[in-house]
Amino acid sequence: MSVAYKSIQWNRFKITYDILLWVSIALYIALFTWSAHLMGPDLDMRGLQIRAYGSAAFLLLHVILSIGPLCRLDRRFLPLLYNRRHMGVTMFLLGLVHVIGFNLAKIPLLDKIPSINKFPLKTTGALTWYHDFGNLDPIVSLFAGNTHYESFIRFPFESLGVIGLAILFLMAITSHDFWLANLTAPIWKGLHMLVYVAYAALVGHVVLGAIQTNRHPILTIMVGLGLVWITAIHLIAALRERKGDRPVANATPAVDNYVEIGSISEIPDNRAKIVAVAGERVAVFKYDGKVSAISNVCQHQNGPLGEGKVIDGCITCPWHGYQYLPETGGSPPPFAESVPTFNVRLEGDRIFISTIPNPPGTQTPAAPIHPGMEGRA
Amino acid sequence: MNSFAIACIPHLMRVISIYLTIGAIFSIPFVTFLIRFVDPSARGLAIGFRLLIIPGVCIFWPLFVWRLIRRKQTPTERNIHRLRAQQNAA
Amino acid sequence: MNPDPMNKRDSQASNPTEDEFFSGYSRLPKGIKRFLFRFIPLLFVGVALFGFFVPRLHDQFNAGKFGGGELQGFLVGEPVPHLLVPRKGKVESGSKFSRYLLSANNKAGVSAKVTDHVGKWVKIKGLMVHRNNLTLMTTGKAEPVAAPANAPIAPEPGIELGEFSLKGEILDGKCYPGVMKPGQGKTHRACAIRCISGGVPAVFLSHNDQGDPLYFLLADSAGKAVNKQVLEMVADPLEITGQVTQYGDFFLLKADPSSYKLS
Repeated sequence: MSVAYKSIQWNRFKITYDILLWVSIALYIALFTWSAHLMGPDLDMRGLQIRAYGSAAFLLLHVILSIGPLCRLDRRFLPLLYNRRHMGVTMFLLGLVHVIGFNLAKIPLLDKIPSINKFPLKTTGALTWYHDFGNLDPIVSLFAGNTHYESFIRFPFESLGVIGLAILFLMAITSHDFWLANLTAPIWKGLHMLVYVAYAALVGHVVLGAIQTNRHPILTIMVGLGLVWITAIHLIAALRERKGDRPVANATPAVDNYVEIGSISEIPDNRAKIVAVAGERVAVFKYDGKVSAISNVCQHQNGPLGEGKVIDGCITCPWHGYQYLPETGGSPPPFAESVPTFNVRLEGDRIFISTIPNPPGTQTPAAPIHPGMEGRA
Repeated sequence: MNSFAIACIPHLMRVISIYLTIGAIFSIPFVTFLIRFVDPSARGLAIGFRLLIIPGVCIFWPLFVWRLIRRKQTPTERNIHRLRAQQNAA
Repeated sequence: MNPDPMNKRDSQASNPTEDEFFSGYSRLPKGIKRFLFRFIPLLFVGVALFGFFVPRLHDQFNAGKFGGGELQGFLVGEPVPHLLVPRKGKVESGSKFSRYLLSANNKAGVSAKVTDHVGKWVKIKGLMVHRNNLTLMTTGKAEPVAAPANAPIAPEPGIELGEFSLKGEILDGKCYPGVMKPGQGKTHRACAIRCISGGVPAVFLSHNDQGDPLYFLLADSAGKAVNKQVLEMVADPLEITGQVTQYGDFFLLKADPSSYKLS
């Protein structure tokens, strides 16, 4: 029996995370508004709020896209990754407010509260501000207002924004674990990798829209630096990743379907060595005087199990703490996830693992480390 | 003003809204009781969870209609280790 | 060694040199906690700096303002509806009239309740939007009034200034002086198209050599409104060659819209 779904599996860390996230966004919007007021006390803020929410979303997207590679470069960033999906949903909501605005007193259910009008929390979106009150439906005006797709300078930046928001919408609505389970992690991840398409579209949206009419050099430099930063940390993280990804199966020939992957002494206690065997990475763990090997791919979000740790006798994924028993590859009850395991054999301090994976959940005895094995050449 | 675009967009919008409306109608029986036939982890009251997945069901409803008809449940991902393990066991 | 007995409760490493591991449901290990306590304030400083300085980079604040008002004057229909209001005091040089463009309250030109009175003296109540010397009033109706006793009898004829080639962009006479930020350029294009298509006067913004803005009301070679013909060129960089006529502080640029060139 699996664990029943809940809306959100709250814990203290997630609550702190969300509070910090929302406080920082409220701080940004408040400072933006205040700073604009300082420039012109009688400015009409409606048009500026569109910029406030749009820029908040764009900045948050840079934070979101930085978390992945930063975690690859320094594990201490992993707590930021743990609840990243709340950041993503928040970013989508900021983008949505940028487009359609927000009025606390008009939200279904909330509008039934009699004193709701005392909280005048509302803002106008770009769709209303620029496209409504005319002789066309605002949505039609949005797409038909500019159709110069053949030109770079005149390119309709609105459509790029729509592409970005549509992708963020798809990601936001599939952020619950129900979707991970029902679409399966590889497809879900493919869908969520579209965030890079969204980023490209939104950079285009900003460059061909805001920056083209608001030609402030610092604004252009900032967007450029953002793009360079995101590209650079992804490249650095990818290069690092590739270094550790040489398949051992090719280096040493397999003997009766076993391949040598290294020595016991090179694996720290309760940690793993990651090697590529049978076309994918395998995590070889050393714990409690034993060695076990399981597929490196967490069933939850395909996180790298080999970068995890054995805690309370379970291999624990570094991303969201999903756990697997080393000798079966199955999650302890009531959880139902399981990953393939690999037979392990020790010869002296050398570790050999089978090139043929066992089906998930198969009882696979760990190889015991006998005294004197470790450290022997 | 591009008159072709002005003529096409309302039709496109209509097609999209029909698709979403079918999804919205389907999502009501789906999240209340049909869901347990495709995913046994959807148990209990869990109102928050059921409401939370409605927007996604409005988009991905054909997938669940298909699974309900084929009487299929939550699939397991396919990756190379799982496939090889399966081949070897067979 | 850390003598704090609380540390004993941590199931994981309390010493940062030990092998720390984060999982959301257990306590934050010491070293990671220390790292986050340094890194998250840094993020907040970033948020504060961006929040304060990003609006400062916004260069499209205009002094355009809304304000209620009432005007009495002579209503003219061509090329677009506008109101001639006699100037008070001595008018030594220039026109005897100030000129106000008119539009409805939404993205549309004035309704028949206004245009029915073209050629008459009227009173108009509405919202005034102005920027530099371009002023537009949004209104729903006009009421006929008697011509003021000492009013100039009829609008003076314009002064033909000759043919000019001007570079600039077409914008709508309402959002540009109004509260839109920006009320011109590419980001505002769709809005300007809606306004001009609805009947708000199309205005050509050009600049003189000193960089001062010059506004030209657009008309075709016959002096009629060009709203429907210019929609595809709104907010694009244009060069227009045509006859310029001066009416007081107001310029009219007459050219066939098919002769407008992208510049």
